[in-house]
Amino acid sequence: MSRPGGWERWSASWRAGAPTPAELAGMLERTARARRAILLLRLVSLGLAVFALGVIGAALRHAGNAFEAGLGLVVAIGIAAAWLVDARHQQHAHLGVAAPPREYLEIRRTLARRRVAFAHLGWIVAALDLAFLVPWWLGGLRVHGLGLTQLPTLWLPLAVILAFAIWLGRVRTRARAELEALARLASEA
Amino acid sequence: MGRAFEDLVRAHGAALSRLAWGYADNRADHDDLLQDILVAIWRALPRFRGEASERTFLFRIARNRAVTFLSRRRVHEPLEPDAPIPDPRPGPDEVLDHAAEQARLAAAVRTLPPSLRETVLLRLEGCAIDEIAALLDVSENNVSVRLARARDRLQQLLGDREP
Repeated sequence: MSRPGGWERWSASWRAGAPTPAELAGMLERTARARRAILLLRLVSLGLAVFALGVIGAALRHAGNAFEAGLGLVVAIGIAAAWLVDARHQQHAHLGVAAPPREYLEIRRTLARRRVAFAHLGWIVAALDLAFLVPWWLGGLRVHGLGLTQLPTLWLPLAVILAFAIWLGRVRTRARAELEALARLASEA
Repeated sequence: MGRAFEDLVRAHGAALSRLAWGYADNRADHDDLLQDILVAIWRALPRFRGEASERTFLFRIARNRAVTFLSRRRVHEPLEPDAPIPDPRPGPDEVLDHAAEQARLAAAVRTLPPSLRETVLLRLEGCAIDEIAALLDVSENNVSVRLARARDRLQQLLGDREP
């Protein structure tokens, strides 16, 4: 009896094992959890953007002159723009997932470049945010002093701005690493 | 949509899991990649209009997410071409262990360059040459050349023994 050729033998060996129904159910459960986590992250991201805009709104009520008010508006627009750009990137990352390989690589490259630019935009917004809020915080410290009453207007926004800046650093590092890796993969192909 | 997704996973989950083993060399990475693939399928499913076969659609997503997975992890040094893959079988006289053979084949496949690897994985899943060509957006001739190179390399890596 003739034996099947190399590919047929390898293919048969490759496909010999199959997940059990319990393993398949586990896959579905893990995917459902991941979907819930994605939704939660979106809500948290939206909540942080709304909180940041609320802080800017509160500070704007104490703006001393037209320049401060203008700066506050620019920061508010910047926060909203950064959130929308990030949401757009999240959406764009999945639009081309079923695209042909070359198109997919180009989509990933474009997205990585945009993420690097997004990190730069975010740092500018964070710096402007600090420039706008620091005078308001100093005024608040003179009136209210250091204490828990400053938590929602000073310490929490400061922590959010710092966390945002650090997160942007990670986004930029990952995006640059992905660009390098994609170039390497393209050359290997 | 939830029902359609579950049906797809039940029908193709095994193949997607095996494809993930072609890129991940440990359980944690495998599970991460497989989950990423399944989430990507879930997100892409509403836009699937049946332009390609269901399998082509799923395998292309799996391939694309695997590329992203590779681009995000550290580069692994490939094995030397002459170094045979360690044989995990207990001995020639003992019963053939399919799981061990599959792991050994997967380890060999993972040492292939990306273009050969993705071609081989689809071949191992039973895709015909024209289907692989459509899936990878290359010519059928290119697929044949890749498969011939990959076969030589695998025979070398596996010690030219039967799996």
